[in-house]
Amino acid sequence: MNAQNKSGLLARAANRARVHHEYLGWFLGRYAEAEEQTDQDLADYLGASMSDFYRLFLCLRPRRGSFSSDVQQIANKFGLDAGDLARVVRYVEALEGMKDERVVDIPGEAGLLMAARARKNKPGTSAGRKKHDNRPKS
Amino acid sequence: MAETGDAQQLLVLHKRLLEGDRVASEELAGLVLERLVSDLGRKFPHTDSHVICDGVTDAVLDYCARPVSFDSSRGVPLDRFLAKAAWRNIANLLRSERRRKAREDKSVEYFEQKVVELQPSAGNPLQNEALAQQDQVAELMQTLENPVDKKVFELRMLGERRTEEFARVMGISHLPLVEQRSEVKRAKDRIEKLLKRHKASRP
Repeated sequence: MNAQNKSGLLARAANRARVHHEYLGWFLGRYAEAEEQTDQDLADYLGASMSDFYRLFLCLRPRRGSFSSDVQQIANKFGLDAGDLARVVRYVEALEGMKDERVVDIPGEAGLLMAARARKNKPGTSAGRKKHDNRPKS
Repeated sequence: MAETGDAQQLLVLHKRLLEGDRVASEELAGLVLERLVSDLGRKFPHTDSHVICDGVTDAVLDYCARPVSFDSSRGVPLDRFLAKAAWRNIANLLRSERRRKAREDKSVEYFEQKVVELQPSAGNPLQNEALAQQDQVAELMQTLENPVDKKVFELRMLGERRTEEFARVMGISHLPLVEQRSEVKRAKDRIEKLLKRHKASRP
């Protein structure tokens, strides 16, 4: 396999990493999408060559418990500014957090609606409207 | 299979992954992707290279995200473990691809039966009727608001079957073939539904 094929393979693998949320590629992909940036724009922002940029996609995401050291490890490997990389990851985390909140809101509203809905009578009980229904029977 | 040196290197990377190293996945991918794609390409000689590449990449990404899935004490080398996982992925992709194609052929057959009367090329002897049918096709085209849907419909009416042609007009040629197919299928289904709905709403 020649160098061109190898870089093509790397780009394709990086593209695949966009849908694996355990990878930095997932974050970079979402960031580029949210900010309407091309891969080249984002690579420029991070100060990475395109080849390093795609290799970056294949790194595992920083963990919550060791965020700073994880980001630092990745940044050191590719000679990037850890602050810029951390900002990208935090930005996407914040976006995803907002999405989660919206999802949580919906069941909350459903709960209110359910609370306002009249309960059905159990079979055999004569409660509710029927009890007070004074309309003439046909 | 890996040389002894590579096997050692893979084991070191495996340990680093278990310890939570964030960049070991990238190093491991760089070490095995090319060789696995080439090996699996030989095992699936008539398969689209993109399918091979996706199957291999998924196997590597899945393993690196969950390195505990590989048990080094079982005596199976890591590269063989990855090759097996990639083989399974490719076989699954091919199986789902066959199922998708069968479904699509069935749906195209159904669609063609439904619209054959609208095709002037059906050899209708009555010129007026042919013109009326052309109008109907034009009317159906009018119901599609999305210009991409129109292009997809147009291609379909011309008898186009190739996914890459649909992908080109939909502007998704950059996506992996499997994703292209599912996007194209989704677009065709959506259009079919719109046309059915339009037909049903006509007096």
